[in-house]
Amino acid sequence: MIPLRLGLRQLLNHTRLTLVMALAVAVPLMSYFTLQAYQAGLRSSYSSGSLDFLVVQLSGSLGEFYGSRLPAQVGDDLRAAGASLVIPEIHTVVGTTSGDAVLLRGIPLESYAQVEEFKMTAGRPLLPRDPPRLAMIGTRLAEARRLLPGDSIQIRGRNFQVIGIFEVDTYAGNEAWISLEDAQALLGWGTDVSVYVIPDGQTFQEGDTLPGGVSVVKKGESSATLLAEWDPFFRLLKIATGALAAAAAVALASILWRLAWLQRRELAILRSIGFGKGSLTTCLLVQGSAITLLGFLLGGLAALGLGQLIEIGAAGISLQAVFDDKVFLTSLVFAAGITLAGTTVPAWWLNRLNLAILLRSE
Amino acid sequence: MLQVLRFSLADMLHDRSRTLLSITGLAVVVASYFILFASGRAFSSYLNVTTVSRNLIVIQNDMIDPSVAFLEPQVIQAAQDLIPATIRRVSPIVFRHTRVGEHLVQLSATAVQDWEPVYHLVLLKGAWSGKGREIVVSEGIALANAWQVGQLVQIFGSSFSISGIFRSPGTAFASVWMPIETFRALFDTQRGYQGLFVQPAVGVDPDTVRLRLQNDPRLADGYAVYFEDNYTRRKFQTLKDLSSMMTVMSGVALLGIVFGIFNAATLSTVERGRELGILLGIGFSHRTVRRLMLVRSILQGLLAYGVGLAAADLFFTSQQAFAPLVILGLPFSLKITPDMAASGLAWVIALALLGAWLSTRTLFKLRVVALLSKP
Repeated sequence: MIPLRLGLRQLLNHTRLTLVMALAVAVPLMSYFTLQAYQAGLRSSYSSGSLDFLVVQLSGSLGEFYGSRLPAQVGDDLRAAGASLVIPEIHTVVGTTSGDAVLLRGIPLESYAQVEEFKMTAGRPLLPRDPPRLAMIGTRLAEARRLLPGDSIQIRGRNFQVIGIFEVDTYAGNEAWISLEDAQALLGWGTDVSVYVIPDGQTFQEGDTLPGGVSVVKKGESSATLLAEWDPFFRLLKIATGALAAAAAVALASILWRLAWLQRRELAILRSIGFGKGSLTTCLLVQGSAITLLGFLLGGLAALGLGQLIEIGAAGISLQAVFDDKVFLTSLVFAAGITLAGTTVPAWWLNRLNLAILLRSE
Repeated sequence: MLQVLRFSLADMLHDRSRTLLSITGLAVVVASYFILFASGRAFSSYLNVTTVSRNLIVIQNDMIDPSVAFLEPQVIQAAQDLIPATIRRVSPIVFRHTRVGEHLVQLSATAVQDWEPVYHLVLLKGAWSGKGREIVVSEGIALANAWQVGQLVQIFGSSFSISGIFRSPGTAFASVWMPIETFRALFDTQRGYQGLFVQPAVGVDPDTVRLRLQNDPRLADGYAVYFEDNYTRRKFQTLKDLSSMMTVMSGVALLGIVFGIFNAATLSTVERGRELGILLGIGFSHRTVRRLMLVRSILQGLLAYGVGLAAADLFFTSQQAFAPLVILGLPFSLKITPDMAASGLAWVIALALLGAWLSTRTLFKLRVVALLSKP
């Protein structure tokens, strides 16, 4: 208890220094929090792999977002080959800039619910025999455009009435769903679609190819490809954050070492009356932990603010910072790393010093 | 002033291990700042794309991704009807996003004879593609994948030989270009074109051509006519958020300089209160002692700046050589420009001064006796 009290008392004696050091530690922690939160947001939006379904799309495309267009003949071929369920869908991005872009999904009203789980939060879902020009939209899109059931949303210059708002855990929360026929008419695609969703484990396997440059992939592969595309960005941020953390650890080590040096006589007395070498380490660890904990709180709050301030929008998909348990825990581990790196070196160095020399110091 | 400088240098040398530690910490902060700031700049550079091109682009309305767009033949005809008096040349094009090598790339296909005069592609190495299984690739994607002329790459399950590497002014997409006939054969499709590049005739105002095309009934409300650079800028709006995020984070990182200098200066004064008291006691003014500490902080900041700048530059050079940055199909070249270096220097000096000033602010409110009584 005595080393603990000694460590805390010394921090209280140097309040301004402690606070500024906490701010210095808060900088890398804020960066790390932000990095982790955006990565978590990206993972939660794009991780939509499915074990039950396959997607038939134009090879090499991101068919579940955009870039794939298949003739109706492909659907016929799939059925002829024995696929028990063939669900055509249209996926594309419409809008004039990435700011007003909307992820559009054209769905067959009689079967779309079989391949996508969603929960209605307002209004009702699209139903078979619904009239044209109706849309159900994801919660994120509804929030971004401040839309409610009954309002209208413009898609490619045409007004669609919002009939319901649905909630999903994936990027589909940014989507507007309209009937397949409406989508085909809107895009001028005739009977073409973007992809066909078929059950896994039947006639077709992942990796199969069909004539016309069409291939069979796991549902969610487009998401995995997009996730991989973001990797270099996060790698770069990790390098910068790691460097800032190293700088914070160096600064922390320097401060703790110097604070301990200022109190070397008291620490030496403690050791001479029977406290072990561990007491000095405990004292430094308490100080390091207190500073880092304060930095952790400040960094976390700043990251929360930054997450609210900046929402990354990428062609119809808004990427939000998600502060979940995993983000909190990994950031805490990161903070513990800074504490350990900042306390171990001064503790080791001070423990090497001769007790008699320390006692003589004034 | 020279004396103050000499005194500060001597002081730093005397306390060299701590000085080294402080400078190391600050240098890392400076390097991080440059990495974050250069990234923000690289992202925002796409938002300010300007080309020497006077080209116009005709694409379907409300179609951000042109790869699923469709260009009706009468639209091409509407533009061709204005040749040669108003329009010099038109070039229909098809696009496709696909994964080639390690990255998502934009595949573009059009008539080979249009590549230089219409799209302003500049051949850097090799030759323009001529035969069936040849492609040309942009320098960004070549660098990212370490591709060389003559190398074989797999596209859509088929092998293609890289016949040349080009530079594309303005838009630096990670792009692969192939002749339109090759594209049709590869994707087994005779579907029409997706966009139309229009080159106005010499001496004709491009905006006049744009309005004339836009008002042509054959385009009706289904198509939009953009200036090439304007269209490109609209597509890159996504990067605005990334750029803002990196700029904010680089600014926050810079605060590390203030904190670092503050801590170093505060500890110095706490540890050496008695010495400072002696200096004041023998006639040094508060102003002189403060100047001494400010100069010391600036020196530390400058040394950290030099080391941090060199470290960031080394990082960028090695990254460009071994792992070029490609995000969402766009190659980014991170570099420190002279104006970035100059603004970084100004920030470091200003923040070092701020840190030192904050640290010494309260110290000099103490009386000399109080300073002398410090242990």
